Amino acid sequence: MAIENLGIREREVLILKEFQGLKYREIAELLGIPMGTVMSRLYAARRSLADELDGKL
Amino acid sequence: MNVTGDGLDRARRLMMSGIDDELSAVERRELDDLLASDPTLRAEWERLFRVKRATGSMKLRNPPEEVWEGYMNTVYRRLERSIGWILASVGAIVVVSYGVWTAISEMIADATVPWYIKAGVLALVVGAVILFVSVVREKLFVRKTDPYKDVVR
Repeated sequence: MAIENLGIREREVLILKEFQGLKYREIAELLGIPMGTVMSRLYAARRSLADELDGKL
Repeated sequence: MNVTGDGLDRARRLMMSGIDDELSAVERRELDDLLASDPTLRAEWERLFRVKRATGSMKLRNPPEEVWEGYMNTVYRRLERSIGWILASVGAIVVVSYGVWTAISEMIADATVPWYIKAGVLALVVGAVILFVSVVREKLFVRKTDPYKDVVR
């Protein structure tokens, strides 16, 4: 599945956001990273998923 | 007009916040303006929004308890190590500074040490302090102006 092909850092942020429903601030605090990093990792994750799922969405 | 460089980076972060409904009113207006002015960005926004809809409708197959436990342990370990590094660094700075200060004080007080050695050591210390202050000042300046300061690569 496409999500399993993501890098660990991107996948962890995506799962915490999408499936655990955490806010950016909560993810940043939990992982000890800046909020900007949460957003850029989410962007990278979604961009990869979009590339992989192109034509299926 | 196409958004490029630092503007593109900000636009991508705004798109994420927009998709996840975490934008303030001002940021929402900024994002709307960007999307209206850049067709490429608009197309990417729609593409990413489709991904959000798709992942939003998915269910996570809940892994066994021990997998979650293992994952949380790695998170806590990372935090633990950060705290450990900070404490060890502060301790090392204090101990080394105290040692250097004591050694220099004793050497200055020692009448058998030639004056030019004392002058050399003083020059070394003053030079090191100036370099340290200069580097700290530069770091602080870069931190204030660096658009990527909130991003860990």
